[in-house]
Amino acid sequence: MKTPIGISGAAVALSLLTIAPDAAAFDFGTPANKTESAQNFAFELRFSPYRPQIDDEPGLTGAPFTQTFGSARRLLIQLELDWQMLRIPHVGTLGPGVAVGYTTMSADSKTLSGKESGDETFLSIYPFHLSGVLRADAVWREARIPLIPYAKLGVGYAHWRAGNSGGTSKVKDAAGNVIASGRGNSVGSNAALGVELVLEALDRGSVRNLDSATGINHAYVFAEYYLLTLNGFGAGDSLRVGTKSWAMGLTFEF
Amino acid sequence: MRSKALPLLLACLPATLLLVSPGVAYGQQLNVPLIASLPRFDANGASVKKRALALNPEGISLQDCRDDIRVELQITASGFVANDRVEFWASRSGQDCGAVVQRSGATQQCWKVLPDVVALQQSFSVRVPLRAVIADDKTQGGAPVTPTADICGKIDAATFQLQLLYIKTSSPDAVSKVPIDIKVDTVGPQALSGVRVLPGDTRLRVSWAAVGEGGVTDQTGVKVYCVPVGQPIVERDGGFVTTTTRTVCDDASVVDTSDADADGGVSDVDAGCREVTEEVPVDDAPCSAPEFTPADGGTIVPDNAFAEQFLCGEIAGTQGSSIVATSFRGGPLVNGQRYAVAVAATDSFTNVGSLSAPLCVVPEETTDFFRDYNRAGGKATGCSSTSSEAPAGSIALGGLSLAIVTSLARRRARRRQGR
Repeated sequence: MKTPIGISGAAVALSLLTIAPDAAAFDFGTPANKTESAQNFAFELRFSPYRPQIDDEPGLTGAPFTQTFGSARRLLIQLELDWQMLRIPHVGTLGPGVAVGYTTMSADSKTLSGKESGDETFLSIYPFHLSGVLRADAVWREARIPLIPYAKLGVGYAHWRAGNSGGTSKVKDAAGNVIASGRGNSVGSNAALGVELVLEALDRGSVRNLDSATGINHAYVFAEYYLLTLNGFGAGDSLRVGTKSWAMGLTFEF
Repeated sequence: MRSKALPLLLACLPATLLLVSPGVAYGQQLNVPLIASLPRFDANGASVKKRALALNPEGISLQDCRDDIRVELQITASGFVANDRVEFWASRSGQDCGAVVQRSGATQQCWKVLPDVVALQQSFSVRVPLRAVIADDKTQGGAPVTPTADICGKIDAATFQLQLLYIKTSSPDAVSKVPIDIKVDTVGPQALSGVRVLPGDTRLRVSWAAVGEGGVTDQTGVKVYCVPVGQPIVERDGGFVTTTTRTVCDDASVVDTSDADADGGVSDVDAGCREVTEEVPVDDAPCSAPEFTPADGGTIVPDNAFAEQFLCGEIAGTQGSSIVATSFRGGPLVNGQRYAVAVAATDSFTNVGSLSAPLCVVPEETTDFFRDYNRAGGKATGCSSTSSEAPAGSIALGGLSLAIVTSLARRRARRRQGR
């Protein structure tokens, strides 16, 4: 079983960060100061076009996903919560983040004789990921450039369910025994690079008011490209419901 | 003195007038509690479910009429004397049956629904046949009506009034009255239009167009009825075919297989024609379902007995325009079996409307993404797939996470010690 290079690299980098002898180089969270309340978390509301990589599975004959659902992308709605555990001076925040989302797709079925039918077939995907998130907000805090780059690296996971009008799909052998069920889980890796537009650069006063009223320190609009590679880390029996796509949304730090 | 006598006179005057005025209801009163929820019984006296609470006041549906349902009135009487009686009359549009002219002669507008109760007690009960309430039969004079089921299915949204009359022998007009309004609708919604039936895998999807009943929407649900069609079905080249028989004559003409001519019993086959049996695609075969098509060419209005035999799906509410029928007589629909399907709407009186023209459909297996994926060589088998092998990457990252947490805990502890 091979481990992706990205994951190995992340492991090394994170290990170096955490076991470095100069413990004083890091702060836990971002303490309050004269103008801002303490900041420890980030919340993201994410929207992304989503097309799973099912047809990329080696050994498949044809493209069953595309043949059934077409090539149009579906909308993934996702929520992410990041714990900005560490503040690295002159860099930004680092910590774990967890995201959960949902997307679904359906299509009209046909009878095996090719006629229009009253049945539908569908695939629902609930993608999760647990990642390390590095936000280089020193670009704004120190250089006053209102674009904050960030990176995420971690493990991805998705629960999926494939079914039809009668419920979850079942594949039976000639003897009628169920040999595969349309409900399962896929694991893999998650990597993302993105940039956040600092909204307080447009209206600093309102963000300060927001902080004093709600504790939200900063708000951003972000754009991100991500790779959610749910291939079971190379295991052959994993439904590849991950994707390569971009996402946009809002981030709130608090 | 004068000032004390006047109030006393004013107080006594109404009571005095009541006592000396003939025909004025004083003392003789009837009371029927729980009018909003009258107990119901069938023709054999067995208790049945009360009408839906939404039907307030009491409502009579087609099925109530067909089943000859009775409602029980618990009556209390007060101030009665010997030979007084209670009569039970009904009217349409609220005519007052208390006046004798409404109950007899050429001006009669009411009809009697029960024999009189002459031996009055403080409390007694009667069971009123609902058919009698809606009989609208003024030909019986002062005798109770005895309608049959023939009157059912003819009243479309009307209000009748059952009236309990307290009558003294001294006057033919009632001295007091208890009116009970009863709504009646024994005509169900029109037959649904735009009915479409599509095959599914051991199921059928039935859809229909918007519904109206005489222009006023009163649809509360839709019932779907199925019946297997007897024609044998076989699979040929991925489709289904059935056999039909037609009659071919020597002069190359084709006549209908039904021998409808009046040739004194000599059939076309006897006249040099022969019957030919051939396979045709099942969709091209005529949809013949005698259960859903009366011989007289009319329409069927399903009742409870019909539903027990053929109901294969139903939906409540007015929002849906389709339903998936999945079972018939307690079992699933069978792929490869041809079914005739018809639908009927229901209204707020639980009346079932006319049955739509039947459509014949054969359920069969349908395409399914996961089955197609599996047929295409996909290896994912569902929930068991991820447990078969622990991914090395996950293990590595799990270990890394543990190392991070441990390291941070140690770091935090060292900081605290340093302070």
